[in-house]
Amino acid sequence: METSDAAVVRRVLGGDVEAFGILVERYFDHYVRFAVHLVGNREDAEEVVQDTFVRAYRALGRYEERERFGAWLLRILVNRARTVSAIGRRREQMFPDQVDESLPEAAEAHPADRAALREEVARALSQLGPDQREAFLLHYAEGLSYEEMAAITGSGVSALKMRVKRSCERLREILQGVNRV
Amino acid sequence: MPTPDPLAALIAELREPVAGDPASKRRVMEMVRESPLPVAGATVVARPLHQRSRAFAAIRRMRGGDSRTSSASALATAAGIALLLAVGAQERPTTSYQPGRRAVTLGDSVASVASAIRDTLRIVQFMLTAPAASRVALAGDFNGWDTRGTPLARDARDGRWTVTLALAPGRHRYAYVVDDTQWVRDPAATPAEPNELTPPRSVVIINR
Repeated sequence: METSDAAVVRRVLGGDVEAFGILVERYFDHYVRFAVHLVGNREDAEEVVQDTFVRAYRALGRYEERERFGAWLLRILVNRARTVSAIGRRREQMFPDQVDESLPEAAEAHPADRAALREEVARALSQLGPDQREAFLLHYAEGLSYEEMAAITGSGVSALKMRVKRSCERLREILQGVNRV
Repeated sequence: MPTPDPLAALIAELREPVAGDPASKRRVMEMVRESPLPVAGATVVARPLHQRSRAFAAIRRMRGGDSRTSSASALATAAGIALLLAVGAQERPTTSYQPGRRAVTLGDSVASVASAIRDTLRIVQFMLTAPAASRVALAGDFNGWDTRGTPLARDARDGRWTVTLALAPGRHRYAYVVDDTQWVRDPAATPAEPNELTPPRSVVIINR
């Protein structure tokens, strides 16, 4: 029988630190996937997710069971990713010759067609603004409703709908442009 | 035959499983084990002020003081001093960051009381109000200007970031590092000598 997230949290708060590993196993891979698309490279994504879990553990006393644990975790992750992305943008502005090249390297481990698709996806997403990319991924990669997205991002539902709509339009332009070449 | 929607292919790719690095998961659990146990219902977990409270409690126990005595007076009795450090504030704050309070000496550390060593350590609390920050760390000559080694804990209620350290008496230069990149001197403290080659810094003088 699978233990609910809330029950695991209660175990951790009761002193069973190792039980936190259940939540790590349950959510880590899923959120690495999300973070890779959000921040644009595997190394930063792993760091963001690591940091998210440690922060979540330290703040576990503030978690309220009426909120879905995964959504609570995602809110922490989104905030961390925003910080990392902002730092990355500043770094690129300061050191334009040192732009992270890890995406093509990460793709080399996959079959050629799959690698090409992943690279194309990453490049298309990288051409969206940070807010648009975040909204698009929350809606389409995570399958969240606009109300859930609003709770996580702090933005209004109508603003989020507009971001998703514009990101879809932009991505279609980018992908069709790529396909025509 | 209709052309497949490229956006649908992209969304399908976004949902493909990705395996996280097992070493990253292990690292998470290592850091979790090193962290204080979270407390249910706590507004802020593992705040530096808890450390201060523990220090107060330990001093009271050592001196056989009444646990109902207020922290400040108990500390004054126990350590002989409980003084606000004059750190000077000749300059008004010039950044958007607001001083929560000046870096203050709270009293002798438990270690110094216990061992009665000559170079007594002092417990100093650093505080910065920066509600929009995601991360604040303290860098100074006492930690080799490490920008990550001394993180401040955030109080979500008022956006204050604090950390409490045991420092040797003397003159220390320091600065806050906001979101890993922005160096901010303590708006409430004396600015260190300006130097074109270094970020803005402040000075705290800790009396013996």
